[in-house]
Amino acid sequence: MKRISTHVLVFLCMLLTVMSLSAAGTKDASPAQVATSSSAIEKEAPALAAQVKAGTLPALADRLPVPSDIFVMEMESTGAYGEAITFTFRGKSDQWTTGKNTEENLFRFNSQGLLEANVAKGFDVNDDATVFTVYLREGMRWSDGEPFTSEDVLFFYDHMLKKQTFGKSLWNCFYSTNPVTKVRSEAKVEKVDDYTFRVTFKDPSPSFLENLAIDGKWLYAPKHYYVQLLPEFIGAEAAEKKAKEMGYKDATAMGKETGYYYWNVVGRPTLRPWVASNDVDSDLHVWKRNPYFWKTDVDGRQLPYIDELRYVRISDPSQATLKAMAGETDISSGLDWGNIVALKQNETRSNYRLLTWPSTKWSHTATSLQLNQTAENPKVRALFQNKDFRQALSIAADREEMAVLVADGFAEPAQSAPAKGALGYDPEWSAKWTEYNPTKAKELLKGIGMVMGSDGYFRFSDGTPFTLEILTHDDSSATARCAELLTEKYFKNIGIKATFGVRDRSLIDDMLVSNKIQAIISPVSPAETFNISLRPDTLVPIRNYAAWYGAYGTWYATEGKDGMKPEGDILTLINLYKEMLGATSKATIDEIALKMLKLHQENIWEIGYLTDVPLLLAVNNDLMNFSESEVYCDEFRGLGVAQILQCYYASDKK
Amino acid sequence: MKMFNYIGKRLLLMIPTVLLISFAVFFIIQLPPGDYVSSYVARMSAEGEFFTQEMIDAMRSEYGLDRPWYIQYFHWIWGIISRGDFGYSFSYLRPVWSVIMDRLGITIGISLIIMAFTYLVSLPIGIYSANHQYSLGDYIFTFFGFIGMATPNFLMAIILMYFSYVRTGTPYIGLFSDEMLIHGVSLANFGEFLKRLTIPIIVIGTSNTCAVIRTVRSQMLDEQSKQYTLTARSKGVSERKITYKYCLRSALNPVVSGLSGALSSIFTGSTISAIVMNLPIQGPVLYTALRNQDMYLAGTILLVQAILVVIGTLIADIVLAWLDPRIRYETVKE
Repeated sequence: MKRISTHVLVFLCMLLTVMSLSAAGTKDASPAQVATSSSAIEKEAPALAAQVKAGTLPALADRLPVPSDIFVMEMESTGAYGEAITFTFRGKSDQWTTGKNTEENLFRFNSQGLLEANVAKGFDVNDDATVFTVYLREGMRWSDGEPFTSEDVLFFYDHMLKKQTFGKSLWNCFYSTNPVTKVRSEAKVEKVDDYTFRVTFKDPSPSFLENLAIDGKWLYAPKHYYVQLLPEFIGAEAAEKKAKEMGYKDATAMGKETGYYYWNVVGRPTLRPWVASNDVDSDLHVWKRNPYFWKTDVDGRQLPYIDELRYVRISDPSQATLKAMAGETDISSGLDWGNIVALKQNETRSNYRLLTWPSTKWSHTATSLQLNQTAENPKVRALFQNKDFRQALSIAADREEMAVLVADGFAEPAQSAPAKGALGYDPEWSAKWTEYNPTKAKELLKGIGMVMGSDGYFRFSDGTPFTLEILTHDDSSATARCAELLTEKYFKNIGIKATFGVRDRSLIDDMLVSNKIQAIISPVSPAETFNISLRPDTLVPIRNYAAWYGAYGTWYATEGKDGMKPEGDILTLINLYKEMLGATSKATIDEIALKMLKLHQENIWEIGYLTDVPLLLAVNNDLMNFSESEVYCDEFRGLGVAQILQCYYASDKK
Repeated sequence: MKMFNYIGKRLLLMIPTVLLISFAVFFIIQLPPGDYVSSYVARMSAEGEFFTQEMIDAMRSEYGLDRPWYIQYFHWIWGIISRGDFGYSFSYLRPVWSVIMDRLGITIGISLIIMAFTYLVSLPIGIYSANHQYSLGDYIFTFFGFIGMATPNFLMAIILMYFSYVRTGTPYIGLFSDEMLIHGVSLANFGEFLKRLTIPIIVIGTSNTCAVIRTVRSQMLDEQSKQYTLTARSKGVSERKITYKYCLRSALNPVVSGLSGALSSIFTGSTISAIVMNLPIQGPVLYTALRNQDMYLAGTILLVQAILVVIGTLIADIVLAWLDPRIRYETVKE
């Protein structure tokens, strides 16, 4: 027995050694460079300067665009080169997080929501917004050193977007609608010279560039990379072979992964400040500096300052919180407000500060109640479509109490409405139907025609009982608390029988598609706007996306073949949207947008009880130039609007 | 000769068993409404991507998800039998086997270590408990054993991680610290690696330890009250020889039977505890695959597990026959 145990022990030791040495990651990230005092006059990162000296990299002047075309970035303070920023992430399912952090769009939105040229140097537009001329930067290069020209833009448009090589069809922004005939026509994109291209529309498209910034983000692809990859150039067979070599299922998968989620692909040239250096599914996913990055600070020093972005994989959100508390991550976003006490307690010890970024959601997601205006049961549908019923549900709740019980006091009582600073914000709207008045609620219900049953609950006028079935996929405690308060307390109090259930996400999605939902709380797609004219999906029924307009969206998307035909104010809403698509000037668009928002204010189709809580972030105290506050939304590319490429570590600290 | 026949028969029986299991598994995986495409679209939509109905339909036909499930199953099994092709994972967009191979090494490593820990700790304790029945040591070991068995693994993981964080200030999330992920594991940080291995070993190991301890203890007590032990003792055979050469051998009978599931659990490792502790093993991969209805990945992992269970049972039976001559002679008599 003893001899066996010894043998086993020895075996185990060997096993341990072998296992750890082999599996512990052969991610060879070079140790970060620490800035020295002479870095003030260095125009590029020391590691790159060393490569230039050794002759393996062209000089800085040859890597940047011509001096007049360099993007010079103004920032709070200029910094030193070196170090790395560590994040946590969930692997490939977080690819949009790693993508948005470093995105470099042709055009993008700045912190105030205004359009600005980014990869593009500038643009000209003619008087009736039918011809857009876009200027690129001379001398700009891809991350592998090849020149970036309008050829890359044209190539992307003609051979990738129009040919649908990455699984998406031509973006909406490239269509213009005739305001009279409502006919849609495609734009024409053509090259003017190496650094200029032109987009021509048949009809006026005043919001083209804004829509491009949302739909299109990037409108370019490395031609030299794709001509040796796409079936159109190398033949279907060779493409299949290449796909298998790269480890993909087939050429279609390869097209999608390299063409759309391209930032994951090691070796695919990009224009980003950092490029992925290993597989996105690793325990540690590292992005390394792009030596050909085309932006500098005001002193002419090439950006970014930080050498590497490190993404450490976790499997549960609580691990992100723990790592933030221990100071192991430099930027953590989306932290749970429920952990605010623990997070605050560790601020000094772990050297980070907590920041809050306002969101664009119309209400706290957990308190966002959507009644399906196209509910299958005709009696229920009529009830939901009745404004007075919605008002009754809204004034039945004590929002002050909810603010404390659901959001620990971090949110405020309000109606579901655009937040302060957003288009359409109206203090009256935010206060609409927010009084706590169960008596009036009961009056309203009686006024609709509901009759009080013997069990204390209201029934339909013909005596059939009514139960409000609320579902959600979100099993968070905030949603559960809110749902409990609504169903067990407030709605019960005014005589509405309500039930609440948590279902698996796929089941909810299925029910949404087949229009079997009655009411949803904490919807996946809560009402939110950055700008209703650019991203109307949560507020206008244009496809089967949100629970409150279900089948109306299907009706629009299938052009009347399926779904339910909208009536009343919703029909007005849709008609306004169509009008907006064919608008000829920005002023008209804004006017219509406000009209659409007014309709929402009239009807309160989505009921909300609390304002949204801001995004909670923990940022390393030594990280400079990280925005204290930005609006957090998809149009601003999440954390991307903070421009991490301008961040650096205060010297002799980390 | 008889042994060969026996093994051969068992191996042949394995084929229909495994096929049946894989069929049932495939059926259950696709039961929840929707499929991989619908959950993928939902997830990506939440991130801001937009899909038209045509894109969704195109994705479905690309993945072959627009065919009825039994057709998909048949194609999949046929691929395995004829080409050894286990299909593609929709989430990873890679062949299923490459996804599994990614984590296979570390999963097997950890599982073997934990298994070794379990038996190395529980066998001596079980024997000690039996020999010193009702002593203080016996009670203490029993107490901790029951606590280990009663507490859910993941809860114990959370508690241990909490205490280790409070005491050391370093959260032991995952097997590798950030330093190790960057620079690899070397002799310098090997100590750190062992430290991080402690919690997974304790959490996953202790739940099985109790069962083995109690089993060994009761079997040993059983054997020690038998006639032959008394005879051996009166003959003058040393206590040690009685315990280890005679009693333990019979007592190991149920323990070896329990090993039949070991092979397959080595392949997957634990799941929930692994998620809580962020261990990069197979369990969480299976869990995510099931949640996303990534059919071929989940189906393959479960198929391999089924095969390993059957093989494990066979091996356990053979080892049992070797361990216990009574079984051998009984078979021969027939």
